[in-house]
Amino acid sequence: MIKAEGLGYHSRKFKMQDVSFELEDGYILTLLGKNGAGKTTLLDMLYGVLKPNKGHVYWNDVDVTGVQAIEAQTEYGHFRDEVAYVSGKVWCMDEIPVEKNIALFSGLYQHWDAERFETILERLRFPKERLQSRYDELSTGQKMQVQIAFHLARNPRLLLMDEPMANLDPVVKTDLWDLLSHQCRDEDMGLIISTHLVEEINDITDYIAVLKDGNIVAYGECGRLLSENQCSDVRELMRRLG
Amino acid sequence: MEKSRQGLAEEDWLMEKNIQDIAEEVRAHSGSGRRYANICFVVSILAGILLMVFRDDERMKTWLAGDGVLLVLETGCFTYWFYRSYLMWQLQEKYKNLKMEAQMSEWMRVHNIPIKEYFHYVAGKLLPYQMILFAAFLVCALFSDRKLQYIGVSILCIAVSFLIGYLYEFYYYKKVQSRSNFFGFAFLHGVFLYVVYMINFGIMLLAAFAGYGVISDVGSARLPDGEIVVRGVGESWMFITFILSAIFFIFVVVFCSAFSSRLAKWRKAACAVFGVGMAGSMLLTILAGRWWYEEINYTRQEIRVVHGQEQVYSFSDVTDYSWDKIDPEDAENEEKTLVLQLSDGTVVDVMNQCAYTTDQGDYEKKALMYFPQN
Repeated sequence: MIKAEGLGYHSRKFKMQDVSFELEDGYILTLLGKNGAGKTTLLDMLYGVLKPNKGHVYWNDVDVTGVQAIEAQTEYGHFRDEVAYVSGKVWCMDEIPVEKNIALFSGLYQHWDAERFETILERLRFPKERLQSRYDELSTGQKMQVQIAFHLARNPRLLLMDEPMANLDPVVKTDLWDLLSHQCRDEDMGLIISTHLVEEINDITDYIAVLKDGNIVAYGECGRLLSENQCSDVRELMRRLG
Repeated sequence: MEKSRQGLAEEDWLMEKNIQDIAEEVRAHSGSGRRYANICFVVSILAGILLMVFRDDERMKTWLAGDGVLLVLETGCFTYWFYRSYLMWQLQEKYKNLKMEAQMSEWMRVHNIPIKEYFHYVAGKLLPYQMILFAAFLVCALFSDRKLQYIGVSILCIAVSFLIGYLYEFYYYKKVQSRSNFFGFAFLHGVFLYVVYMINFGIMLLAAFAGYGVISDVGSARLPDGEIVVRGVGESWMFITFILSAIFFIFVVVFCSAFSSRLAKWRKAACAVFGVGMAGSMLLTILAGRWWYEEINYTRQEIRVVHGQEQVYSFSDVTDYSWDKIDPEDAENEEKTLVLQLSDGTVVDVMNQCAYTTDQGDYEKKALMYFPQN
């Protein structure tokens, strides 16, 4: 279970204050909001690559606030292995083949499973022969496919995803939603995902958090939130709140 | 969920092994960075050997004003090598520019790669090279009559390389630790680069001054009657070099700012000016030494009659000479004085009437060399 408590962060052009929520394993939380609403900042703070100015992040009741930003430490070993983050950030070396990248970075994670990686790649329709290509020769969508497969192969307890669908084609997108929802339901993985594709999350997400100017303006179970706001779907909810 | 102690230890080992693999992979792609670093290292070692072998060679003294300049180059070369190697071990050649470097710090952060472990591994890989250099200097010291100088320089080299390593680790740690740019990592990197260059330049300057001291000491010979000839040549050049270094200190503001985003377009120009300035000051140092030595060389050829009618002669004016006993009637005292017969008919007793300087500081020895006793 991950729990955010009173998270606040401010820079020159952005201010986030008092963000709190929690998510049990096996559930999906979707972060919604306009560009610049604070979705990526929140994910960064949850993963620990950004240290909040105030507030705390707890992973199974252990305070892990900003741990990635500090350094891998033995006492946070579980968090490091159990939480994965798919983002637009650079996660491997551009100039070496995908295969080599995978071999290098997979060794950093204890539960990484090569077979699982291959299965997921196949499921995401990634052309196997492209594994020999340099990473920077892949298309943006293919890079995302590899990254998703890499992190899912770590068998995480919680997966954080920052707009993973943005560059994927519709078929792969559908496959990915299936895969993610299967992982959450059957393997008890928690998922926090930020997206702009509001029409696709209606039947998938369990919880929704709507962010606006660095604040959570609505948070709750999807169905309840829709009925409370008298909306038929998430798109309408976003029109009203976002 | 709790892992056993053994499990954690195994995990640590795996992590360490993978960090090493990543560092090796980065190094494998360092391209020309590695070549430059290796060339610098070889030059540094060769310079040390060259210095030891040819230290007393007249041509080397003439062109390099003794060993001071060579030591300066050697120290600078090694510390620069260390800096390049450090970069090479963690940045691919393409990653030299700040954008790419930022990317690397990002994947280090995303995978939570411990910066300290990474740097310790890199520093560990560079340690044998430091030891090779240290050993080379010690061997030189063994065969040299300037043991302290060699040992001092070797310690300085190693200390500076550790300092560079520490500075870079600190910079990188700060960079990975925070994604915010309130202070400007580009600026910090500019400061880091500047410090590295200044360290090198500082060493060169220091060695140049040390060289100045050595040369000025041997350039003045104690005369038999107690006078000391002090050579002032070269001081003006050293002064110019000193002023240049002061200008570089002021230049730091421009240089570091040029690395920040607003002034990025001036970065190349700033680097070029800095590079030219560095090269210029090094050249000036060498030229100063060269000119200086010329002066010493010149004065060595000079015979100055200081008692009686003051007159300057050169060695070519000496038509004959003899070594006469100072006191012919004293059978116990065998001490001799050099008597020169000059082309204009003047006969001078060098001990009592003349002054000439040598670059060895041993008047008797030099006099014997030019005018041997039969």
